[in-house]
Amino acid sequence: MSSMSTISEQDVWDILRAIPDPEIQTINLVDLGVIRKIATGERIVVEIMPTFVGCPALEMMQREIKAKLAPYGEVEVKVVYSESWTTERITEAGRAMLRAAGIAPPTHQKVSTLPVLHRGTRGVAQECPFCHSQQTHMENLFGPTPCRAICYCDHCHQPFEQFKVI
Amino acid sequence: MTPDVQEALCRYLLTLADDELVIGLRDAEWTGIAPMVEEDVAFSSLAQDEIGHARLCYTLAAELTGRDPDHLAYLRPKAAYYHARVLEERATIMYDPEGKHSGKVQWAKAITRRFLYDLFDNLRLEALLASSYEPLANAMRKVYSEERYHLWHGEAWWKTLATSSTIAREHLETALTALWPGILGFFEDAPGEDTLQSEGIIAARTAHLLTPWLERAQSYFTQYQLSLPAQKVGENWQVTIEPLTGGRVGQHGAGWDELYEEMTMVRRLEPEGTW
Repeated sequence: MSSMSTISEQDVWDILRAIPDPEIQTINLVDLGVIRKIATGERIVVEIMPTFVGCPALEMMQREIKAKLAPYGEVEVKVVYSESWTTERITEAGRAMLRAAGIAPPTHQKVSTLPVLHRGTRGVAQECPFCHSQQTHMENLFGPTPCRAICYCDHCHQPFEQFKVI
Repeated sequence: MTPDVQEALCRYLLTLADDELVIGLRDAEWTGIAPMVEEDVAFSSLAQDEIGHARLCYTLAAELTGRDPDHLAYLRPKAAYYHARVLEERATIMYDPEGKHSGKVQWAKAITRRFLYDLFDNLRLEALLASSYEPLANAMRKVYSEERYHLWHGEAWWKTLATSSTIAREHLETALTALWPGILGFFEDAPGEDTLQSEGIIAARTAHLLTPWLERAQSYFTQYQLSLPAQKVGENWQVTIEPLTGGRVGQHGAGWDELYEEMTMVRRLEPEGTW
């Protein structure tokens, strides 16, 4: 079957903006910055960039995108590496959505120029998502998903998750 | 791409993938039994990263050959896996339903192997970042950025084992003595690497990574008065231990018999099953 898709590129962006990340439900795929490009025409082609290579959410995202766009024509979801996703692709709105989930957004740095991070390294997060103190330290470089680390707030004494800079 | 280049590239990708898959599976065994809860989380995440990197390399190999990445990962014959042999060794207790458990908990071994492997893996990735085979260069740039976290994790534990207590240091030294031949076995070329190098697909053959690895590892050893099994004579390093090789041509030991059996068990029951 080959017929033209019945949807504009802008409409596709809007539909994808309504799909939550499978693991962090407060943020959507567009604000997370994983959608690289959309083309409509004979088929709907969505280019998606993995956050972390081993993240199982990627397959769920692909499935969800296909399901939501299926009513509008034939859909292809391409996983691309020609450009790497980095945390700088998360939008300002997206950073607020992470905070809403209690996750400190990543700092505006590049992983290649990050200072050494070890357990106990101070000031890794911009601020604690609960009390907004800047007195925080790294507790574990690894967390519940590949993209998250565990930090600790020295002010309100709460552990919290931080989105890792990548 | 000529058939011989394609064959060499495919073999190289499988070698990369097998290294990552095997260390990922072994490290995943620490989930739930690591010495502290932070390390349960860390090792689970490290293992997940490595298995993800393996999947990416199998996918690249599958694109070249038209085969299914899952088949490459799970359905090759046992002697057609090309990881370095030290990666297949168990560092945890093997539980037996009858109660005849075997092996012992070797945290220092797991940490030491992981850290020295990461130093090697980072050098290997650096030799691929400017690959003339663009899909490989693109994919490895992504992998390389993730590996930075692995190195930081390893550095911290290296220091802890070397300096925190006499017992920790003893465990580190025992692990090093046992692991050295296998660690040096990382630097065995896969067949066809000379072809890949002349095509610009890899910037350095695996065997040629030994010198830069020793240079890089040296700082972590001298800092804590630990010794490398190699001496620098003029500009060149001379290794004083016989490396454990054969992994790159499919020769493996008892650790692989056991791991292969376990990791392919479900697939073999239902090879065409889907999940």
